[in-house]
Amino acid sequence: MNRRAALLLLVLILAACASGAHNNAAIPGEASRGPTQTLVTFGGSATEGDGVRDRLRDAWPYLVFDAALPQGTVLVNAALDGATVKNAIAAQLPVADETHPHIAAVWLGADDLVAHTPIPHFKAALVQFIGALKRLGVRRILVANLPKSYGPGATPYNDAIEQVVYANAVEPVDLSALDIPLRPVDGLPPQPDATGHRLVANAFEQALRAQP
Amino acid sequence: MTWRDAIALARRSVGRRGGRAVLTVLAVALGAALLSSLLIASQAAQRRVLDQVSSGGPLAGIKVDAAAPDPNALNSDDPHPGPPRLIDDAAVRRIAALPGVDSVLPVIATPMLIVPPETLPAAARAKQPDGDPIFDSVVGVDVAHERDLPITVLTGRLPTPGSNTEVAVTLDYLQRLGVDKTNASALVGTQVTLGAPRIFTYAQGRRFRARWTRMTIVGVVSQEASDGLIVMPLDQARLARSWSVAGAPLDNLGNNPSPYTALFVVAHGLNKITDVRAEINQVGYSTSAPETLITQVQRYLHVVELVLAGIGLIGLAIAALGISNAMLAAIRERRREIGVLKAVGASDRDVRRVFLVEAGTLGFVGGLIGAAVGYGVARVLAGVVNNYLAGQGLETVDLGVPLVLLALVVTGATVLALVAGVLPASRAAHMPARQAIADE
Repeated sequence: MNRRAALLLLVLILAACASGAHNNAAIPGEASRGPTQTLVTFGGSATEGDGVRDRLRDAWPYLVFDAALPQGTVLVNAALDGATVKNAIAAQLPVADETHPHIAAVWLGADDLVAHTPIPHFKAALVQFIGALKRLGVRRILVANLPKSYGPGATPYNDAIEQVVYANAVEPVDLSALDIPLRPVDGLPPQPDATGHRLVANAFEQALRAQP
Repeated sequence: MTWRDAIALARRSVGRRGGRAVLTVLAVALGAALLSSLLIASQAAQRRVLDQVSSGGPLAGIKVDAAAPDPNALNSDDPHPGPPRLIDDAAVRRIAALPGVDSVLPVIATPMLIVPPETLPAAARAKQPDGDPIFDSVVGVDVAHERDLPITVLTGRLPTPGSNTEVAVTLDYLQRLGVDKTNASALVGTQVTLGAPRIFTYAQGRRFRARWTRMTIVGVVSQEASDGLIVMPLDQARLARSWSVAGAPLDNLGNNPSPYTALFVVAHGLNKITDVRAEINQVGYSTSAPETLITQVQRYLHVVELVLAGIGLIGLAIAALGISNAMLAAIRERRREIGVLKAVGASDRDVRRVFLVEAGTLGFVGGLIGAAVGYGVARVLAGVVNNYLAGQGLETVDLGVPLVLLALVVTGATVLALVAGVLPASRAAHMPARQAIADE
């Protein structure tokens, strides 16, 4: 009798405890802390996202941010439309000074091409821009040139970019072979469309994944 | 006669009349089950109601705004704050040092551009999955002190303290995406991109630049810490706010430069709230707390608890009468045994002890079974209620394991059985040996 009562009691307690188990929703098992690093992108209207319908999803800086960098990374897109390298030194470089990025992705030159900036001036300004980034301690500086769809006028600028990249030992992102589709945009020169941004982002992603 | 002898005799007696003992134990168990299940359900309901009133935070919680107090509404539960005032670390320390203050938790609300995923999981069944960015606010809190915050986790969990990759979303976020509360868990594990905005001047025009981070949603919460769609660790909100505040003021959300936008203060108890609020007002900040409402609700809930406990106790008292009746019947049947015991030298006290041990054993075993059954019944009821609540997208009820309450029910049943056994035991004790044997 006593054994039976004890058994009954045990079964009741176990049943009560079992029914108390919580059924929590699945929680992702990802690491709760990602690397603390910052990517700053510098550029003109294309880098700002002009030319695509949804710039936060389709512009190349956001595509690179989503696809090539781990969670925990901070992105600041410092680009401004109409930015020659000289303008970028005044209006975009202060962002690097404030955020001290680990990675800088630079795609300048298109607005210098439109503004017909003399090549020596363009080259000197680019040297100054990259030098400032290096002095700020940016670990990886990726510099892209201009795609062939920008026309034959882009070639001297690309030559200047190539010389500055190698002279300053920063990482090149070669877009010169890409035939990036351009589309007309009100008040601006033709801009890369969503496919073009995808191609630019791919080139930056490849460069980022390569060993520095 | 030793206690051991008395226990052995009581055990033998219970064993000889097994059927009656089982029925008596079942009666006690029924009463104890009724009492324990009613009390457990009442306690859980009380917690749930008070949680609702206090927005999931501690009952003695006080919200301090980054604003001066309105002198005309100091005693109101929810006064209109006065002009803006900075809350910095010095103010936090000053408030934390006030008498009656248990803890002070800073809150940072900051404007944010929120970019949900373009496509949501099918299980979310969003009504309007347009994926457009949302301009609203996020709330930064010290997630390590979840219990001291007016936050209730509906599904998933809060972000890990110190995380820079995790956030929880509020019911407002679900509403903005057109996701029903019942499908909230489908959003856990999805990503959201957050952009802390900064307005600056360029080429004589106002321009926008953001500081972007990519986060995983780890939970859905209901919260009253501040207005906002996202809850994140305090440090992440601080970084975002520093970025935004460094720019020009945002037109629709403003940029109060206060390092903290609010504080959540917990007083030592409900009775201290009025004093603590007055002290914080003296320091120069506006406060709000649902203290009047909570006190009134508590008063009503105590009445309900007393009524339910009364019903359970009546059940237990009826069971005690059953014990008394069973013991009296046992005495009539065991006159010879009592006579023999007395003839071989057992005192009145020894005989009383045997019967009291028997009554106490019946009460204890019945109480133990009743408490376990009562807990089980309460869990089953909670399961049914939780299914309904979850179906409505509401916070479920957690009974926990109320060990103290269950121990009190077992002790109460034992004591009641002993009281019920006093009269039969005394009658047996005072029975003369010769008469007992002669009657037999």
